[in-house]
Amino acid sequence: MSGIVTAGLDIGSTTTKVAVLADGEVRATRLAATGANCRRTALALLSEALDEAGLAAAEVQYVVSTGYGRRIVEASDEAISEITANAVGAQWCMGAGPQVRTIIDIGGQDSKVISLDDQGHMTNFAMNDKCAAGTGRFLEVMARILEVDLEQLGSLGVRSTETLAISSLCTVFAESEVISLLAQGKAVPDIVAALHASIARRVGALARTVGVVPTVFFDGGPALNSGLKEALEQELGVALHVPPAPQTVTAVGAAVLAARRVEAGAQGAPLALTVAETA
Amino acid sequence: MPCSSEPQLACTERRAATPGVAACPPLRLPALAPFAAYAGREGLRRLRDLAVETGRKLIGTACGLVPEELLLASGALPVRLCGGEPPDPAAGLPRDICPVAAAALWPLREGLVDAALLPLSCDWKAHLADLAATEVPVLRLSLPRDAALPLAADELRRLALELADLTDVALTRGGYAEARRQVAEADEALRQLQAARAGLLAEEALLVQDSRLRADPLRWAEAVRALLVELSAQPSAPLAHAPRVLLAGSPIIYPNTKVPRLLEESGAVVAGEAFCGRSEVLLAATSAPANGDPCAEMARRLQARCACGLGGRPAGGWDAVLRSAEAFGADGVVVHVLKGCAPFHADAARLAAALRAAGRPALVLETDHGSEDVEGLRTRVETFVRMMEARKEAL
Repeated sequence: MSGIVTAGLDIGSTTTKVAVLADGEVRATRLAATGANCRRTALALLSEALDEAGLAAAEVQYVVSTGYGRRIVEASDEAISEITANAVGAQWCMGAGPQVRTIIDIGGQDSKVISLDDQGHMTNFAMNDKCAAGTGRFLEVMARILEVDLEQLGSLGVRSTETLAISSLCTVFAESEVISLLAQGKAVPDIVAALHASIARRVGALARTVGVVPTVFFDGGPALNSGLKEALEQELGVALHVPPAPQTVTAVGAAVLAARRVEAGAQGAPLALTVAETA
Repeated sequence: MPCSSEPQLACTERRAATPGVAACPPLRLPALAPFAAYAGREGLRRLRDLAVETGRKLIGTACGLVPEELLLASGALPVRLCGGEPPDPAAGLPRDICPVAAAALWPLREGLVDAALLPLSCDWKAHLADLAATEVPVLRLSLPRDAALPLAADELRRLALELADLTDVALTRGGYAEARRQVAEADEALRQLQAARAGLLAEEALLVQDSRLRADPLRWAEAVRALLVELSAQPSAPLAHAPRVLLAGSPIIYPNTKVPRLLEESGAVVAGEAFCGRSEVLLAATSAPANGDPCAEMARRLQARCACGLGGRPAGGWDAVLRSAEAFGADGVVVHVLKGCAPFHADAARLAAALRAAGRPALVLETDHGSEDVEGLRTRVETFVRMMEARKEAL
């Protein structure tokens, strides 16, 4: 990938992530709330990432977009599904480490489990996007009700001393359960632990539909939550590998796929970092 | 080429039925017009007019287990009631009703058919028969779920007598043989269509196939032959590298073409379908001769052709899917599950596992006749197509 400069745009329902790849190395990543105008957000992040990498837009040879907004960004030369990009990104992040066989990705509004064979080829996948149960949005809603920062949830959960149960899988109904537990005077750390266990059960059931084979890679924003990671490990009975930047794995995968396209002879359109006002 | 005046009704209806999913597909080939004319609700009303003109009873059906030749031999005109239209909100039906049963209700309520012949092949079909009985006379067909052919033949004999009472046409051996010949001619046309389907978009192929029980079999076969002539004159550009996909599971019925459309938009080719008896028709080398006991022969054929696992062969129906995947050179199989079809939902994961064990990637898609889930389906379909592409490259 020497001499190749590419970008990956992962436009998720909650967060947009961008990765710039040059000479086979990730030179910069950026992320921000997707907001109302995902095109503008993606291009602003790409511009920032290129500045950090010391690269000009004209040097970018190919851009691959992924995520729910993948098909509406003009700067993209190719749109691929986030599942494909995630599988590539996870293996890229593991580098010379053990072969990833299972990927668990919890996103803002869906969760996915990907199964790979011992050669790294995708063999199966499962995706749950019927509702926000078992997703980052579920945690966001609950953090708001508990009046704690999202980032605090992981450390709060490990301080739990009483086992509570959140039985509802529906975000709205679970919200009612949490309010009820608060009204009963239950401790916030115990409620947080119960929420983690609830998500772990949901994601664990999804994972079992494709099978869980180590090495298991865990990414997406909620992978930063140590309490959720621990709950998932207990649910699945395996250790989870969380990369240093789990939110940008899929964007990196998109950039890697873009570089492979360039290696195969593809040429992207000139990159323009502006958005039409009508967009 | 814009829609011609006749099929435009059906296309307009389709656009309204699935907003945001499918624009009216231009009829690329004039020879598709006869099939489009019999699609949708307008097509069914045309068949009602034909029945009135020819003095035949129009009998609605809703399953691949219907003995079409028996209806034809009894002087009736069979018409498939089930379609791919979303349920009519005005009907006041619950959301999770079987979409096929829901789509079959409106022509009964509008009195478009004189009677209905409904195999009791699943709980919903049985309940559909009860609902239909409040609108029109209903003939129920209860074929045994195992290989008890004598019992099945007896049931068909009982049905033949019931039909004769309804139509006032006595069933004769000659009449049955002629009806069998007509069905065999249509089956042969379907086989020829399958051999030439590379020239058709998946939704065009569905349109043609699903009009099979919306038209007289001989007229349908004639229209297929005209289409084949037109296809043979078209420049052929086979997509040699595109993954080939077999559709299996709950029936995908025109105009619900979102899954095959998404597959094609993602770069795959729909190689064929394995539901509602199509596989057995397509895989059979020749049609069975109409000699011996007609009812025994009919029973044998109906039990052999059911690939859905609900009507005749609870697990053995998968054989047809596996054989179809092999015969059609499928790189992967989409197992389509209609919401509300609980038995198929329960079977889908095991069927997918059986396919994977046989070396074919499989994707289970649970959906309905609506358009709300298209983007969620697109992510899965695109991933599945890329997975098959990577697998082909690796091989």
